Amino acid sequence: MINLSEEEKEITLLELLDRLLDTGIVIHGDIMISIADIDLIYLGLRLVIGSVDTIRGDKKVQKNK
Amino acid sequence: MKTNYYVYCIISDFDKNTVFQFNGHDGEEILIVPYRDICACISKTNITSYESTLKNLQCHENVIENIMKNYTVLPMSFSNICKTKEDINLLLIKYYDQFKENLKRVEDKVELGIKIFYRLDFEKENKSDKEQCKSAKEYMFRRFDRYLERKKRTESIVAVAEDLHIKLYEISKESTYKKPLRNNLIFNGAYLVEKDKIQEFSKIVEEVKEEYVSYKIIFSGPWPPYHFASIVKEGEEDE
Repeated sequence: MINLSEEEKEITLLELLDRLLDTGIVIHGDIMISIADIDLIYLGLRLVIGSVDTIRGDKKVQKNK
Repeated sequence: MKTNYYVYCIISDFDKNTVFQFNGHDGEEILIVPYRDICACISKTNITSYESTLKNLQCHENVIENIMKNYTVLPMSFSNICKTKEDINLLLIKYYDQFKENLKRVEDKVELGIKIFYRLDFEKENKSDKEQCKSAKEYMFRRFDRYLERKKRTESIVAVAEDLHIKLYEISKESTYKKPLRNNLIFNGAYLVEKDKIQEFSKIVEEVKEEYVSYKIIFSGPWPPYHFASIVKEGEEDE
């Protein structure tokens, strides 16, 4: 197996998630449909959540003063 | 005993005696469920749903890529599992015409992907802003400035992405894209490209990559045509 760097691993995972989970043919009961919506499960989402929490945190500190 | 069937892809014009030299999930051999001139490539399993880990995703992808070397494939999404062989048979019968039509559309073509990202470490930028700003007010102003600056930069890279998309669209058979503009992902596109046009396609991407070094442009493929399998639920073709 080829050794991938952390960044390469993250990109590979991102590309795989983007395709394998969001597109391709899906079996649902006795029906089949295709999903072709490029709606990325974005790995960096935690960054936004992180910064919102930080802002909230600042407010709390001010109130306590 | 393994009684479920994991479905990887649909192929046509197969040789009934084909023995695949690679394995699927849990090292199980790849088998085929035929109907007329098409078949589903499967492996046995006793699991009803696989976790989307890198290892499992890579396994699904590797099986399809290996089959793709010799056949035109219609890729299934990750973790599609049927309880009986009969279920797979019924699906092949029910959707035969759509599978044939799709296989014809993607024949001799591959999917190529482009993603454009900011080369920006938001966490680091935010941290340094926080350290430098003396008050919450100053910090909020700084964030607003950052927002305006980013908006301006985004507009210019979106124009570049649209320009690139037009060029790539012209040499592709089909394409689909989104400008998510979420966090640092600016553009996300997929193209269905004839095999003999891959080089021409990559040349255009490489040129843009060299020109816009301040953005991270990820060019990926050849992929199975995940974005271009278009199956409509039976009886709802008009939707």
